[in-house]
Amino acid sequence: MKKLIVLLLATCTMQLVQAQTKTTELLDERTDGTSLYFYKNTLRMLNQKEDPEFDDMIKDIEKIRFLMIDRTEDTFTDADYKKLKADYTKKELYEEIMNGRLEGRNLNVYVREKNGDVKGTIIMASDSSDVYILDILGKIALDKAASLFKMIDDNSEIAKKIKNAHID
Amino acid sequence: MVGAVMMMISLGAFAQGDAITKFFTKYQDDETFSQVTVSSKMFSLLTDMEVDNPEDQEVINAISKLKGLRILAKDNARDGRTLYKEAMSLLPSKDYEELMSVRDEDKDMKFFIRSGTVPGKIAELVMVMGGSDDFMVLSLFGEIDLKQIGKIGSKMDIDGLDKLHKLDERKGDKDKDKDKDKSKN
Repeated sequence: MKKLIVLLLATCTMQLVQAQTKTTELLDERTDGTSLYFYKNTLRMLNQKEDPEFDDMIKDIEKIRFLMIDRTEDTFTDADYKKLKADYTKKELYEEIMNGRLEGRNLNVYVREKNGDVKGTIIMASDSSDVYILDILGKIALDKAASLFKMIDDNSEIAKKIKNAHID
Repeated sequence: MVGAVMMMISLGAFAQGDAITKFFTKYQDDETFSQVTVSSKMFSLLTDMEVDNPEDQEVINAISKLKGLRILAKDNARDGRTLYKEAMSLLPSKDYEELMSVRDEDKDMKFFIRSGTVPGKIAELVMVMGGSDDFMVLSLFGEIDLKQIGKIGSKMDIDGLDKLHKLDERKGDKDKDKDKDKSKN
């Protein structure tokens, strides 16, 4: 089953799509990390266990761009991370709604609103070895955020496998 | 991590008591601590949540009036009790009133409230928890409805805040006692 998911995800990366934000697009161009796209349908396919909570979480998401950057390979420093956060808030006019540091991982969540409706969500996470960016067109149901973080962790593993497969 | 993530947010100009802010400032860059900051924007976004019953809607309405949440926690902390004492010593008794005290196994927990300007509502809830191997201080601020506080704690899935259910239980017991008294009369 995991092989199927990996194949689906790999197929997604081959599709040409517009980035959600210029900042994410520039970051993707600058770094050699893994870059994946998830659409509403592919997100639904990820829900192998048919978890209704997961379906609820993704119902307002149009697409997601997921970047995973190896800090060492791309020489991505803490200063780069700080600049990236500033770019989202100052250039893209996102507003930080949450930040934290848990189990050695930093987490920042931003939203961009238009007429009182959330149009974009950025979730950034970093640890000592990697930086993860989820650039979401749309919004996630905040009460289902726990499922989202599980998805980030799971997909990080999938992305690593894809990356390693290419290297091999 | 997942449960704890529900508790986080950003470092803004929050209307917290100065004492507790100093404590957060002192330790927020210490990587042996976990920290979470949540802004008023995130709470206001919760109003978009779909709920099934009026009781849940009341809780959501109460959560939407929160202005921020900050948590500083340390697991596997041998200095948990020292940190607990330090946090307690920083809370000025003239501003904060003790709401509840809980001893759970080897942990001590105290809940404090700071009055606000709106009648029936409080401006801040502080929880300090310290044990032999962990520590946590939490500050929830905004316009907090004491009647909903137990349910808010439960909805937010934060360790320690679930103890606020005891307030609801006590209230429930008191109501039952009143009903008994009435029936006797």
